[in-house]
Amino acid sequence: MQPSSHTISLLLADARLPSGGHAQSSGVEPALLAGMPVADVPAFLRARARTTATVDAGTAVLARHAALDCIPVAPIERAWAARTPSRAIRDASKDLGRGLLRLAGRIWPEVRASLDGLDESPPRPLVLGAIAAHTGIDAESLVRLTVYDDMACAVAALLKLEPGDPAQGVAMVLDACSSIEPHVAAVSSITSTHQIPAASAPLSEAWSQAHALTTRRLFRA
Amino acid sequence: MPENIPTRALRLGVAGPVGTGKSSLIATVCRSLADELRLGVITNDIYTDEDARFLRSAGVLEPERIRAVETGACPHTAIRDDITMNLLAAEDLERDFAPLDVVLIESGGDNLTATFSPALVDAQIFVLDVAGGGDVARKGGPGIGRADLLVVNKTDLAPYVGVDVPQMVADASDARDGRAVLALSRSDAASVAELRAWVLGVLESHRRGTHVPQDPGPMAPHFHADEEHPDGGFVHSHDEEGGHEHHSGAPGHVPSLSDTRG
Repeated sequence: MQPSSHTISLLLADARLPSGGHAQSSGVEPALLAGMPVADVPAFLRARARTTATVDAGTAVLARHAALDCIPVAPIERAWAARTPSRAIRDASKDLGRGLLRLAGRIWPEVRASLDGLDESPPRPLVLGAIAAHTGIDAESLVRLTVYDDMACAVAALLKLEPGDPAQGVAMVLDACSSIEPHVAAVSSITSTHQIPAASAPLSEAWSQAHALTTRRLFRA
Repeated sequence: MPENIPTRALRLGVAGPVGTGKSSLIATVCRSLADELRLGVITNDIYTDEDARFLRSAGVLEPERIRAVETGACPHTAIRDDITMNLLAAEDLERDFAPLDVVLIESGGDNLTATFSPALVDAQIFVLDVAGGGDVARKGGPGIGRADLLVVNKTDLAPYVGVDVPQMVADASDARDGRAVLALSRSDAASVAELRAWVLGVLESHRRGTHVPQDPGPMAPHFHADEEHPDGGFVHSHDEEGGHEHHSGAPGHVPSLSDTRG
């Protein structure tokens, strides 16, 4: 018996999934180190959800299509990279993708074949898309999963960096995830690379670049 | 048959509480073996890349062979529950400097309970020091009880901190059912030679394919103080499965220092 695609979605969204996510902060540590007030974190998350997380979600949707239709994924990676100008953020996503692929390749070996043409560190959304294709996760669920995972990672890191009421952190995740609901249908129905949203977050990207050079950090990015 | 299988580097973990000399021990291993072995080092710092920088500045290896991974404030997790970042770093080092003989992985300085997953390292050293107190070895824990080697470090400081080194080693040996214990000081050449010989012994059995990674496992039996108990407390164990014991003399068991010394 195959596990239900819903169970796979839960598995992929679980912070305890051993794929290296615990060393990431979704840009929160870079932002706080750069002096962003903690009170701005909810707004930061909503902005991230609308920008970089939506770029990732669109990329994941296309990677899912590519895996289902056996289309090369290299152009999708290039389209994602063009929309992710910060090297530090691209590197973090590739670390996450590599860790996730390391795990997924063991559980669903066909996921690797769908990422042929990429190096051993595909960006996280491409790996998520390939897993979705092989485990029956639909495009809308994939969009929500991609955004949720990024937001949950941010808040888990926030609780270590600026400990506060954990319930407030949960509320922030739900707030940021629900803020993209009006866009889920559009993002989940794209079919070509030029339709991937091109929304960047220059300030956050600059913070991530600076963070990559600091010698005092808890998180990779 | 084994010679047809490309052997990857021996992955050797170094764990132990903060300040017991893990980085210094790694520098000592590198200094004594860098001429004959191809080495790489991964550090798991909690809040900086201080350990990696210390090792690079020690000049014991090319700086590129020493890499730091972030642990997301969870040094336990990074070496035990989710070892992804460390595995990726080890694979990168082994690829970039192929072939390597040994990759040393230093844990983030943590308390007495953190040990490496056998899925990450082939063998592990647990480091205590005399300055931490002569009674620490008696307190037990998975690393003290069942790491492949327990090092009692900084023995040169013993006169200044009032610790009886032979007694601390004897306590440690008791806590470990005779597994290897080494009293080490980087200024004591004989002890450094013993450490060097131990690493070479593990590497040899790793290459022969006879070394089996062991999990130090759950908390070792330890003492709970209890004023109402007639003995002032009781010994308690979490080791209920008992399936992962590290039996002396089992296949793959590396002769301990105490074995070789007779």
